[in-house]
Amino acid sequence: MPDFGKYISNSYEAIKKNKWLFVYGLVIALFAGGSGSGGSNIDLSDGFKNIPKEIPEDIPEKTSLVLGTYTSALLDWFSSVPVTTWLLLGLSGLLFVILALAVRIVLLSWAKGALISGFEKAFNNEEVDLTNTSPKGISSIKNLVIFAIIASLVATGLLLGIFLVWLIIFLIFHVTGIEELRIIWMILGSIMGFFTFVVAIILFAMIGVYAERLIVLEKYSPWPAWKKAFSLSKGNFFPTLVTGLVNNVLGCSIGCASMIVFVILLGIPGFIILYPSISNGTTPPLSAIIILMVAFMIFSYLNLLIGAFVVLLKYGNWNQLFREVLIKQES
Amino acid sequence: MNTQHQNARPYLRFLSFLINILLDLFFFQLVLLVVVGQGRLENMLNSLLTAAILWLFFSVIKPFFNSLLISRFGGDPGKLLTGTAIIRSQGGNLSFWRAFFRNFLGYTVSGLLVWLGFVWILIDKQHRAWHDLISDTVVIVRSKSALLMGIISMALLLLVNVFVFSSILSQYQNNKTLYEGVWQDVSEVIRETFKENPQTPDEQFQFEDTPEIPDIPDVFPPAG
Repeated sequence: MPDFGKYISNSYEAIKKNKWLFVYGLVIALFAGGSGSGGSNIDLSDGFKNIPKEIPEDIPEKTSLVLGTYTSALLDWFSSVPVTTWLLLGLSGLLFVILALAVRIVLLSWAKGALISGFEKAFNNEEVDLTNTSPKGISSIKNLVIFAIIASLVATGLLLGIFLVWLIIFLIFHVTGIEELRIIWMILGSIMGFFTFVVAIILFAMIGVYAERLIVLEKYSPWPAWKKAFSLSKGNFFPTLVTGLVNNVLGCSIGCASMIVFVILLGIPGFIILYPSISNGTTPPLSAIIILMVAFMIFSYLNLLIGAFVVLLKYGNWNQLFREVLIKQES
Repeated sequence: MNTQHQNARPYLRFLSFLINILLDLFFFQLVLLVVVGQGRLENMLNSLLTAAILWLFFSVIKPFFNSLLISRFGGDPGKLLTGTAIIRSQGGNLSFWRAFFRNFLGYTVSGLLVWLGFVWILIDKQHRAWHDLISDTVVIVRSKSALLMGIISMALLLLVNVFVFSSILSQYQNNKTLYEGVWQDVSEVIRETFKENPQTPDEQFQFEDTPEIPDIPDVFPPAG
């Protein structure tokens, strides 16, 4: 079993010594949707009693009763706009969204490639900066994107496969009219399908970890990387699973600890500032709003930095496990 | 590393950045002027819809257009007007995709943490920002005399923008009644919709009890 204490301390030392890695950590933390915090749910609804908590269902009827001159004209205009104009608006919006998604995927692939290669340099005691890690990220973009597509297709195929098997057996029992077997399969089959799906997801996550490093560090192509990663994951299932659990526990612990600190340092003072207005049901003064906005900005940026730090720790740990697994396989 | 040209100083890069911002602002204000200049609600809505479509297309096309300019001529409009150019650190023009990576993705990275990547120009010895470091580029000075042209361009763009802005304000004043009417209508709709028993516009202005008109007393009794 890997020495997780050594992994974490090596990763921490590498991060401390090579702060440029934070740039890639920031990109992954922001665009991969993961963050270091345990979640920031600030509920301000208690003080705002006048705002309806549920949207009334009869809004269209009520609205149609109270329409004035201009709002009626607005509705008339809406129906008079040609369909081609709406299509054009939809098309331009779609193009915008596609471009944004493509940029996100490319940015993430670049950051992953550069970070993996950055940690490799750091663990080999080489100098790490943006100029000597970014080119590796750029050269890995294409293969990492293709791998992501392959992985998504395989995962989707497996999910559909599990569902189809369940459905076919369910239909067989349904057609034969054996009610008891149908119900038993409905329950048992769902449980089995769920567990198969969970195990498959965990396996795919492991394959992803190994495949990314095979592509970036060992210059594998996407499909051979997937196959090799599958065999590495199978052969080292438990060490990889435990490393993943350790990483997640680390991330959650750091996230929760940072959230507690934020609540004490920012949340409580913010509540004290807002409380007079909440209790009176009035709008807070401008100075209070500005202070809260600044506090929120500080919170967002610090949260992002902590998220980046967690990403770096995880990637450092994965890189070390990957090297150990490869060495073990070659020996 | 490029040693033939002088690296562009931060003030030059800031000047080219300002020129680009003013150019974008000019086009935005032109569209706004057209929208605000409409005297009728229907025409205003039509021009607003057209503006939305144009903005979306512009947002998609602009990165590609700028990348083409950089790969062909060495810089976006701001850089060209200030006599600066973006080249590879070893020399030579950027390819289209490297220019796209630098200007689109690289700018995103530079702006991640309180725009620290842009401020890095002041810290780096070669005045390179994060988007320069990750795309292996450097901004150089091609023509020192173009600095004057850059300053004049910026001043002209500033004047034009101020002029267009004042036209927008003037058009707004002319059509203020229309905007106030629309705003009043929309706020009333929202307010009434969330009431338990919403009132129609007729009901809102109806008196609950019509006061009786009292009889006029005879001040002047009939003659005779």
